[in-house]
Amino acid sequence: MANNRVLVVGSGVSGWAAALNLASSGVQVSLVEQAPFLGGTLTQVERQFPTNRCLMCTLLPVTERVEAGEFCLRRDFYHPFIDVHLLTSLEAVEGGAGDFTVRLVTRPRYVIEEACIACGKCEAVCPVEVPDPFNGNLSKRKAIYARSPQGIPNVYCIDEAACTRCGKCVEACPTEAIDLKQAAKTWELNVAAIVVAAGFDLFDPNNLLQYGWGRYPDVLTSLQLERLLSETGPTGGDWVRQATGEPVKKVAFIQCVGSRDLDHPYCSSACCMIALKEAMFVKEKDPDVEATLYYMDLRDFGKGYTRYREQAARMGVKFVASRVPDVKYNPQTKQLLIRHMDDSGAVTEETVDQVVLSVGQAPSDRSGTLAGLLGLEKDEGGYIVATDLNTTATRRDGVFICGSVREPKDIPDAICEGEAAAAQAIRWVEGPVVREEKEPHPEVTLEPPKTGVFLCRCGEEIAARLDLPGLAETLRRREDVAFVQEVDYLCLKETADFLVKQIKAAQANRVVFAACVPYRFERQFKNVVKAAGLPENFMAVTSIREQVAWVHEAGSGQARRKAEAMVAAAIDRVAGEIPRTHAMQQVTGKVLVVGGGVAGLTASRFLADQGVPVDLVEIEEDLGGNFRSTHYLLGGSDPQTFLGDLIDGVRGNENIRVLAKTRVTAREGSLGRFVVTLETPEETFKEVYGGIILATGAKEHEVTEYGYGSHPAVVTMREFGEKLSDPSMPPPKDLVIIQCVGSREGDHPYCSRFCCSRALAHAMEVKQRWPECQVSILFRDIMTYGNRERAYTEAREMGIHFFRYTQEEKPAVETGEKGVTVRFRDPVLGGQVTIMPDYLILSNGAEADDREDLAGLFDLETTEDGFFKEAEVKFRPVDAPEAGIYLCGIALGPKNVNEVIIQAEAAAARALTVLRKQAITLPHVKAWVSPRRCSACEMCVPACPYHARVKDEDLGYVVVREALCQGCGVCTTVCPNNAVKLISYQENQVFSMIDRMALG
Amino acid sequence: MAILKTIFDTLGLESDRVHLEWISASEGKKFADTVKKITDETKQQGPNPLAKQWSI
Amino acid sequence: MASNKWIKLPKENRDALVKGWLKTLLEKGAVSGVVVPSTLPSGANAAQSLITDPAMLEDTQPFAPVMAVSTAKILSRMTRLKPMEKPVAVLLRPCELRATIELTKLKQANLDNLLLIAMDCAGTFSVKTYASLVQEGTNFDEMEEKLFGGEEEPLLRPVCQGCEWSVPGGCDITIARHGLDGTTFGLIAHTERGEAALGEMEGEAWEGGEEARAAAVEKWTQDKIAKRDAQFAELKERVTGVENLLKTYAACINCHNCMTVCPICFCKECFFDSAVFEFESDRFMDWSKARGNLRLPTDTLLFHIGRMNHMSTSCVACGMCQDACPNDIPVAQIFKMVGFNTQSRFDYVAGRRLDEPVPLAEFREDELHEIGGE
Repeated sequence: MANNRVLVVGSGVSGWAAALNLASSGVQVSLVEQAPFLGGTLTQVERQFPTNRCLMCTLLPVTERVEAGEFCLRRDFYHPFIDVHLLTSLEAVEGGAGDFTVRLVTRPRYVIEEACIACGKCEAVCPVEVPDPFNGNLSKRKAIYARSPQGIPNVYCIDEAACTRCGKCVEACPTEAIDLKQAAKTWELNVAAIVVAAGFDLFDPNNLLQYGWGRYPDVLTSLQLERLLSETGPTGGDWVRQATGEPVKKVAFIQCVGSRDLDHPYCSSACCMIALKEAMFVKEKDPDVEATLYYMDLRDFGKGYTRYREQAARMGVKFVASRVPDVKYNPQTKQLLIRHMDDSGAVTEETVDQVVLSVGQAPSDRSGTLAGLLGLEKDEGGYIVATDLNTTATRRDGVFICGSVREPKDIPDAICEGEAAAAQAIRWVEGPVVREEKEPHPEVTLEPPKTGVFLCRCGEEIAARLDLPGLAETLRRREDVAFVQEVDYLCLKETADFLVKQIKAAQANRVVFAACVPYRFERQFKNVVKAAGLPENFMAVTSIREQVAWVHEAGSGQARRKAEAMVAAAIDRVAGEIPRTHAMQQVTGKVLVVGGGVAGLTASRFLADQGVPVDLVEIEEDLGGNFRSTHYLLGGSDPQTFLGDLIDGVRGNENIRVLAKTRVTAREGSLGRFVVTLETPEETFKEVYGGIILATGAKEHEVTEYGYGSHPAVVTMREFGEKLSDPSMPPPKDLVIIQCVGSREGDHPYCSRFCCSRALAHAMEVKQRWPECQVSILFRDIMTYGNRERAYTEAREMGIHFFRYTQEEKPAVETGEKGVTVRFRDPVLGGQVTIMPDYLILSNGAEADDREDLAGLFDLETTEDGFFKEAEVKFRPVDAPEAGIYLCGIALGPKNVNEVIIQAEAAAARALTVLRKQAITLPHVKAWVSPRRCSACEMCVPACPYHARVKDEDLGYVVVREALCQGCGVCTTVCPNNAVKLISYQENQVFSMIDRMALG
Repeated sequence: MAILKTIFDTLGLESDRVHLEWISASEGKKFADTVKKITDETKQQGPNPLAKQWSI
Repeated sequence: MASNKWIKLPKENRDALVKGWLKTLLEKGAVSGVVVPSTLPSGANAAQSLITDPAMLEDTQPFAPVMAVSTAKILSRMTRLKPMEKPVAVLLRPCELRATIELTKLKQANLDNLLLIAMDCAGTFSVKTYASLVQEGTNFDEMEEKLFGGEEEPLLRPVCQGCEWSVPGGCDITIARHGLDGTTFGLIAHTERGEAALGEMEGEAWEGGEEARAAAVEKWTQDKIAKRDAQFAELKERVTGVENLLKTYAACINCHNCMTVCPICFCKECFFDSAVFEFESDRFMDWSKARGNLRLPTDTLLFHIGRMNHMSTSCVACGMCQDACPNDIPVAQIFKMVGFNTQSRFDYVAGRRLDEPVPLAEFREDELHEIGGE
């Protein structure tokens, strides 16, 4: 049986990314989440590093966006092809790839979602109070609770464990939404593939008594601080000493709590940056606060993170490289005492007001259960293991893993993995690409607007506080109002038919719903409007519950006047609506991949395997890129075998045409139909592609420091790798490796991410081959994030020496006839060390290639460090700003090869969302240009942040590239002449709304 | 916005009656605080002198 | 491509020399046309004209101190749809040149094949004043010398009296007066194109011109800035504040002449003339009820503030709007004061340089946090 459905387990950020990418690719998704609300850990964190913004909504699809909700992703989420099942867990799996039968259990919510109007009456009467884990237990909630205002869905649920079944809530509920007799439901589903994105648990600091968490009020976890700093947190953003309520003057962040120790042999990857972010936030609240990070290695290895650290340092955040063994409490002052030891062993004591434990990511119990029932292997840290070179595939066909079930990681990596896993899963999917048929818009008469107004009584929630009959009376006096109708509950599904009949009977051609906040019911109302034969945007929702009934004195004139003004403004607004149109864009089902390194090769093969014709363009003669000179990797995989297989796979694939020594010299067109000019040594020709993947790589940092070039024994890490791969290399006695050569300083304020792993791989290879050889690694911070940490531990166990140096005191190198001399300070013993190694190996990083040409052609920007900028560094890590163009590999920034592979798959996955379809629906037209008014001054062209505007030379005015327009409205503000119209926000609509509010 | 405020300042109109604040959907408290602040400031300022003028 | 040729010639023959030179350029085909003010039939006005017949240069008045229409507006009209195919020489005053550059940045004019010849300017008269001065038999050369000498002339257009932009920038050739003693005038080529055109002109090399000119310009500019600031101060006193503004614009009859003649107001159809400002009858009643009275037509002050909002960052203070105002509202002076402030906000000067993007045409994620918060 053709199966076009994929099961995604977990609705955290990687599960979400997987589900959205599958749905955008025309695959049906069942998204199961064991919690009562969507979103995972991310919902507790409001602002992200390094942008210090939320930007979660950028995760929403950019094309075919009409099909998904366009709300803030903290308020609501829906997609027609994603069925969401909350409180649901996977219990059993049978069958195999392409045809799994899964058994799921949905636990009771005890609240009927459709019936709950989130009025809060149940919560008010509930007698049971429990700590609220959403706020890190810093506040209380009732046994019946909603995660207001930021829960998806915005309805209540009952905490089974806390509830005493007293039944008070049942009595209080005006809509009979509470059913204490609900029982768990076991059900089955047939799916083609399974994506496991079960996330992580935060490390529980109760396990580390020495820090006093849970005993001393001012010892917090990083999540607790996050909630305390949040405006939706337990204190509304007031951050004070928990013990005394006084302002915090001094705060210490202790890193690696529950990471990088014997029981947790991994680095949690994100905590350094989270601590940096929080330290910056507390500095924002009060610049005089003293904030210090106590760390082992400061792992700022991600894109833009070193600059972020520098920004924090400029704000006055302090850094101390030291592990804090314990925290003591002074009961008199209620302050905390911490001790830290510098490298020489000298102990310093500090008294602080608050201690923040940077708790790590820990494998969740769920992932253990899931591994068990899916038959997947776990590593010693408890994480599920993927196949070699860390793709998202597991040993079981049709089962893929992504996000933190594999290894602790940060958001962009989790998203890439989610997208990569999605694309892997598509291989097992059969059946047609599902798409929502866009019906042609109903003929809209040119008759003057006649608006029907529904006033929701919301039981008594609105009716008891606002004089609805009086309001109705006033509104009826307007000539353009067809009817005003009070309704008990507009949201109940049963009322929909009645609403449609009423609209039709009164021949209304616009509809206003005066009800509650629109997040949950807008699409329901849209369906009513559509069913009544009107375009779906010929309606407006205005919130007379939250903004009037609940905030103004019941029955007051103020409430009445405000409601009148709001409804009148809504009527004026819908009166000015014009039908939205959805343009279709035919898609050329072929892709261009630029760059023949690992990223480009992986993306090409991946897409070709899915039946997509690929043109792979490489500027050089040979494929393979920088990776050709990689001979050793952590984990023991043989890079050259891998690369050879990859290249053979590409060369032998009939869907791939490899164009060597070829350049891209021009491009026209956009998403779905890019016309690209290619220049091969023989000819120049044009080709049409539906999507474009840029994987142009980067170059090696050219070393000038540490005597490089003056002596043959001073070599770069790549050169040393080449030597090492030669079996005839004579045994060395002494090697010195210097890390961060041209990285994280000066002109290169970024971590090259792969150098530490490569240095360890080489050092360990040397130690294995010649155990008596002395290897010393001089480092600033070792970047063995995630499971790489185990290699670091192993390296130390093998007897490799590590010496930390600082930017201020770098190792000194002399070269002469006698050889190379390296002098540096041993921070542990304090003395000066002099080594005359056989080789001084300089661990040099990557540097951006100058690709101004491509940046110009594809409307890309580059970061300050010269790497391509993605659409959004956290949530859209492989999308270029322009839709239909995708980026991957080290052209985006330096990274390890497994991350390159994941990114390439993610980029391919993103491209598949377009390439799987013959045509895509463009977002409804948001902005358009009046040809009569446009003077073609082109001010809007550079002003548009989405590159959605271009002057049409034939027409003589500026046109909107519909596929790219996001409706932000910058164009309307720069256009001197209002030649730009923003649909639903046209000036007549906005002006009359302002008038209603101002004069009302 | 910068332009408008500059114009108002130059013309001796009250530019502090025009506000721009970027508030995301997740910043409920910031929104409430901002509106409160603006309301308080406007109360302090008293009614807009232009609102009484018929000849604008 | 930069060039730097400096010559000087006798001032008394300036009119004839320049005309002769333009004639040679036209005859030799170095340019295919010349845009230069010609005397109109009344004899009391001069307007820009496009000359292709060398003989017609006789009736031109390159230095008539009057600007009937901004040359920038003319050049926009001539080159917006299609740039000049062959070289055309254009004679401009500095404000016209700045407006031309501004319009080029706004894609409303195209400088291709235009040989821009601009002059040091001591100020111009309104068409009306110029006509009566002609009637009176005024010697404009003498008057110009007095002005360059630093004397005040109350009949000059008010914006000219406080204009600190007496020297053109960004042209091919400058016809210079600053830095000389009045017996000679200078010709300076700034570009290769300018130098080639200047090859047709013989003159004495102007030694040490650069320093002398810089000093003279500096002094002149400082004097004018002082005057401008005095004007701003006086205006601030007279027109700012709700009551003064309403008094000032009380005379406005909504004719929109100021917008029509503005070289920068390039919109095909002004927003304020558009259907957005057509309302149904109840709207007028609502507005009137809110105050008890409603000035008609509506939105007089809004039009002026709206125009400032749209255009003040590109205002070159040429003063055309004030000349066009039938009721003598100091629109240009107010606009200049506003424009000076809005442009300063972005470290921008309208028309100063071609490679400076207009402030609104740049999307910057991080700017102006003092306005919108973080």
